[in-house]
Amino acid sequence: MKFGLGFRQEKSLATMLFLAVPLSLFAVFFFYPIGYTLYLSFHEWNGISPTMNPVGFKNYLNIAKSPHFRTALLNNGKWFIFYLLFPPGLGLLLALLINKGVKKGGIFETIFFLPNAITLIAVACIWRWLYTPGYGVFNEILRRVGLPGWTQNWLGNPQIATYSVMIAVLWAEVGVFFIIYFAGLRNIPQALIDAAKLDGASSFKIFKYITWPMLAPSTVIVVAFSVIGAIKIFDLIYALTRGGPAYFTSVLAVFMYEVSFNRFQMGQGAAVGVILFLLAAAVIGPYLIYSTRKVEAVRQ
Amino acid sequence: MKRKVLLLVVLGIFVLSGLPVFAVDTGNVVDIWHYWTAGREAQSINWLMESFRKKYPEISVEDRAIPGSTAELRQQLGVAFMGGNPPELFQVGIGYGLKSYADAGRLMPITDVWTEINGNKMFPEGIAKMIVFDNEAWAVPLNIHTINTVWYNVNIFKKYNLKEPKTWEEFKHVCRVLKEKDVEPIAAAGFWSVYALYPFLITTLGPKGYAALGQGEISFTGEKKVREAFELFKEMWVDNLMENWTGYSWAEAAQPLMKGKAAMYFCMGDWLAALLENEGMEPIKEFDFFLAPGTRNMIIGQVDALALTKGSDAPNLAKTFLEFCASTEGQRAFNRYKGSVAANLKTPSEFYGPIMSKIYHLLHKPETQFMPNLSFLMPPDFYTQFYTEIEKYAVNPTDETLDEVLNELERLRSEAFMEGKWVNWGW
Repeated sequence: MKFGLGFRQEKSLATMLFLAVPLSLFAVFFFYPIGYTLYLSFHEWNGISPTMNPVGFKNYLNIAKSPHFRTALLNNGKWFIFYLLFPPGLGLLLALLINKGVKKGGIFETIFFLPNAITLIAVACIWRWLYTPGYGVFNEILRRVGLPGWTQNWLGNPQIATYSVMIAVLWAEVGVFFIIYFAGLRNIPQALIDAAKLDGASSFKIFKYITWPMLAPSTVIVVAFSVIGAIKIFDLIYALTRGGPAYFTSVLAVFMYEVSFNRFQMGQGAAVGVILFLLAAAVIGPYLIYSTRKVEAVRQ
Repeated sequence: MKRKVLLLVVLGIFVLSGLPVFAVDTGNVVDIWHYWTAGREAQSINWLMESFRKKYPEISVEDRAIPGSTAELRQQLGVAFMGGNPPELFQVGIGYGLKSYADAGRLMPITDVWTEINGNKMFPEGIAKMIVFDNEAWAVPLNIHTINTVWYNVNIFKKYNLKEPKTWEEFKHVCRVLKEKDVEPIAAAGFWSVYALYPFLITTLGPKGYAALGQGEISFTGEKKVREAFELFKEMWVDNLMENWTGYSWAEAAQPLMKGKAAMYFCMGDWLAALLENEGMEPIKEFDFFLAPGTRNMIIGQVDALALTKGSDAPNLAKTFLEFCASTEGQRAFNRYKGSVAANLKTPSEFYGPIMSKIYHLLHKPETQFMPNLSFLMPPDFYTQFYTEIEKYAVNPTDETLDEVLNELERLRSEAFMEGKWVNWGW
């Protein structure tokens, strides 16, 4: 017995001490920035002045009036749909194909994951080169195969620019989704599938009644990744189009960067950050609660 | 035991390094922050510093290149100001950018230096107006980049017997001939539409009206000449642009000009000359420029300057450096590689290449007026939205879009007016 404490007291003191470090770090690097961003969103500040002016809800009202904000919000909606459907869908498809045809999937895991290991700025350089209208690889291929009419202004046409960026993102990020699903597939007991086959179940039925439900834990992670990806998407858009032409490919994170660092309206930028945070919390929070319960149910 | 000793030593170093007695003494070093990170730009600042070191070997001068542009430098400065450890000098644009630092109380006036060098005579009046405000001078300009330059492929012009257009009618004729010969008249890139609008604003509003627009004094919806400028912009520029121009960066858009697929590159800054030369084109013989019609007696320019921070450890040494920067020697050192002309009008011209020499002589004609880039006149918040709206119209130049754009700009102008953001620069 040390410091005159009982065993239980000593244990709880040790627990508290061990928890104090991560909790302090969490408070300093997580709660404080969130709180400070909220505080900043009610002020006007140009980033260099020693003082800030309180302005109430003015920053939020200015944002609401901005057509750029509305376009960015709409584009985030498009990214939300994209992220929910395409990276998980393609990731699952690749995982199913590889799982069925190959005994050791390591080489494919590496191949599909490789783009994810490349820094996004390099990815953007590659895709910018592919998409350049005059001498870019895609347009050159189309011209050489006799389809010059199909050439596109991939990143400069407001009608298609967002979708062009989506293809680049799909290439860069599908590897993560593939790996999560591939790991999930490898964890499904082969005996279950063999039993179903003996009972005469078709491949589709095996997928519907065994594989897909057993992949629920993977799907929870994948969908969470998708939602977070859709809300925080910034790097590739900024590096490929900077939100342009005009602001047709912009999203909330790009808008936040522009307002904060090009227009020097730190308060307004913080207000966009708060809106992004609330959107993320509103979408991800209920989903995580629901899906965790569902996974527990599947496990039981 | 050894581990404990090592840990104590490391902790000791940390603690001691925090004490003032062990802190690095920066009182004798002039520290300069900028974003001239690579190529000719890096060469320019290096050459300037080397020249200074030769003349003042007793003064230490160091620089730090921040990758990026104004935004990234401003972020770093913001942190340095808050930490109480800013550099002595930093790169800044004249006009509104400079004023925002001065208004925030982050700058030390350099009126004594300005008076000593007779800055009002040394630099063009248009530049002095944007450096001297609130009865103080705040920076020393290093150079002028010209942006109303229309670059052209000399071989194409020769082949079709075209002459440098002096009026918009002549410009229209040149574009018509080029289209007939299946040559794209104008190369352009996304993000840069705003520069192309300036000559049209000056054509319809005049230089004073252009400056008044930059000072928030002219309504976008109430003044017919603003609309006329946009319509002329569409007729002369947008309708003659190469296909898919929005998908190119400014450097990529130079390729069609070099390959002879496009004939002109309209209102791209004089930094384009360096790129074209690097790609093997011979100035004057293979590419040349003329000033955009409507702006033939003016240089629309942007200026890099150095400002002194408040709280600088070595303000007097920094002022010596600023005086050197203003001198013909300093200006010559900086502009030798930069691809810009010296802001000090007394700097001789013998070191310039053929393109810069031509700009130099245009700048020194008695009738030439220096006009600032609108980004120096307008609040950054407004200007960022202004250039985005211009691009929106350039991408879809319909009457409906023009109405939308002008209404939005007018809303933003009024909002900035209500907040007292417009500055009268004395134009």
